[in-house]
Amino acid sequence: MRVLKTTALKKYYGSGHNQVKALDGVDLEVEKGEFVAIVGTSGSGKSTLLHMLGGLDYPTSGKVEVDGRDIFSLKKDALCIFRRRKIGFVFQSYNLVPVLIVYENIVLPIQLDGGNPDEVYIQNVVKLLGLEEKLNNLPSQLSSGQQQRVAIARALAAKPAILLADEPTGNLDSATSQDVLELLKVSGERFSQTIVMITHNEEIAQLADRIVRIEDGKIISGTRRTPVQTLAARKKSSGGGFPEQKGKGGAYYG
Amino acid sequence: MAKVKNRQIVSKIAMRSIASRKSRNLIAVLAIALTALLFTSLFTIGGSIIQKMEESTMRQVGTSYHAGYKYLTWEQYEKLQKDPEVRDISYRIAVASAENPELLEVPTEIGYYEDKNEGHMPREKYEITASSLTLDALGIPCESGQKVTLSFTVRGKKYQQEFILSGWYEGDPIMAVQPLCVSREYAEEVAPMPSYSFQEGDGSTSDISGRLMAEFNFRNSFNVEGKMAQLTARLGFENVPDGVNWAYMSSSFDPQTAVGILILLAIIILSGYLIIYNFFYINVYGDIRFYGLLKTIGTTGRQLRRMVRRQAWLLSLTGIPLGLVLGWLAGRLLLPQIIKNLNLYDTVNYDASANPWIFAGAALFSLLTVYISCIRPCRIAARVSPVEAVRYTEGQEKSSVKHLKKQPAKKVTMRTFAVANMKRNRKRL
Repeated sequence: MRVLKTTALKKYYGSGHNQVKALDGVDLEVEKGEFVAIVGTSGSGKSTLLHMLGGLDYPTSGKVEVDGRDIFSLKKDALCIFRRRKIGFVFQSYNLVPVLIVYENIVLPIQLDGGNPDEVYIQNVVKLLGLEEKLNNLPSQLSSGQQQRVAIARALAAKPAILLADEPTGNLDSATSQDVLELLKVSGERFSQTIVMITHNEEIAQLADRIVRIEDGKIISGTRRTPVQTLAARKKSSGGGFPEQKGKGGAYYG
Repeated sequence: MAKVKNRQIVSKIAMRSIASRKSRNLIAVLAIALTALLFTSLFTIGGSIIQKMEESTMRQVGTSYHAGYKYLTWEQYEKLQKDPEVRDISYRIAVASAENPELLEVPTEIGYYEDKNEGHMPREKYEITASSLTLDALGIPCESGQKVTLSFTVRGKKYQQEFILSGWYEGDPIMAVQPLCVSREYAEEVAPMPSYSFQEGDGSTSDISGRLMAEFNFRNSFNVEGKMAQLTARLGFENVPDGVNWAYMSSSFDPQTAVGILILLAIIILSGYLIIYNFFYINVYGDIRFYGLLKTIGTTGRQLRRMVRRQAWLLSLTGIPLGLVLGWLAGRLLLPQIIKNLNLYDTVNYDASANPWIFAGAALFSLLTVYISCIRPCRIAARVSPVEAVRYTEGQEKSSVKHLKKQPAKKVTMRTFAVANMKRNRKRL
């Protein structure tokens, strides 16, 4: 099932010979459950693309469809509501509300909606991410790795159609990065969550099911999506995504 | 239910944000308190002066009643008493004006006063209660038991009567006339109620003895003249001499003063607005990353607006009461100076009025000012682009050249200005 589709997405800044073409006609499709990494160098347009996908910024032209909805046809407030229900975000830094404790941060998008959090589901997410001990702490009391894990938990909590991650390990050291990325991938598999992550790091990108390369505002490879059968087969062969069975990590994921 | 819940979370964030910013809050609270202080001082001083002017006029008139009719018969008095609009009615039986030569400078009216219920009112036939000013003029010490001889004329008949002073009171020098109370028995003997009404008589001042002077209040002091006119029409008292206490007459309220007060109010609102608005404006820009972050996780513009406003109310909760108290104290301090400058009718006391309306009014105007000051900052918070938060953090990592390239020129100017402003603010902190 197609969760995300962009059509001829363009974002131009300025005009005349000063014009910057951040995105120059991007067509992308993402299936449910895929873990896609968008790779590009600085200035390639990957952040801009992510902002478009998340409805954070308006394109100059083109369409973005999430879960079948053309998100830019929605009015501002409606888009906001759509975003909090259907799109989860993890940023490079400054993700959490400093005055709320970890648990409150996790359920924040749900509460903004006035809805009821699915406690069982959230407990599972919290357990997977190893945050049970930290639920009553303030973000300032956590390490950056832990903060990112909370951000991931928050992004997952509302069960969005798609989870967007913007260089989630950019501010972390290599050991923590590894942990966080594993967790991201595992959560995606465990909860059948679609993930789109942008990065400039090739190694990180390898963790994904599919790598999309972008340069100068255009996708240069990876648009052709992996046939669904292959994807499902690959997941089956790796044993349903439980970390112990994959032979990674170990004591960390209980 | 959903609406209530999401209001709760917005409030929660607002409250916790405020709690975490003690030093910034102090300035806001002071700014709001200052505004409340200005309003309260204005209202305290203004209100007190108005009150004193009223009191002063009342003392001149000699009474605090709203209105009165003169020279009534008992029949007319009863009719008046029964009217539903008339309250607190009382009468006095007019006897005569004292004609002692010593009292030329101290006009003294002799009569029986129904409404005075204090201690040493005349009980025995020849007892009287008099003003200290009357007694001083007659050279009589203010002691019970003193003999007082009064000369007066009732309906052409001259009297010279010796009385015993049963009591006295402190005379008010600005009163037009000093009352002197005789016993009811004496009043009725010397000045019995004539059998015909004043209207049926010749209408001259010699026909007033024995007649009733009635004084009363309406339900409130608004438009006393109008109410009086209606009452006169209702009772058919067109030919009855009447009077409205000029302390209550609306014409005594000076339009010039009213304009002056309105201008002062406008000035206070403006200065309060400028201070508070500036503060909220800087605050919002300081928190713009935070609001951007909230927007990315799905807070609507309206929710952000509510958050900013909620913070403003919380600050007012401390600021306004503080300002009210300080303002009242300031008003109290300044009042004596202002009264002296205004040369107000010899009023003796300089007590500031503590009328609750002063505080209610000051609080209301302060809240109004805070509300107005919020409007634009709320709009800024609501309109924040979610990319603000993201871009800000990105800009710290990536090259500044790229950062500048992507930013439309306007935004940089505004933020640089705000940041510079904030830095200046911090120095002051």
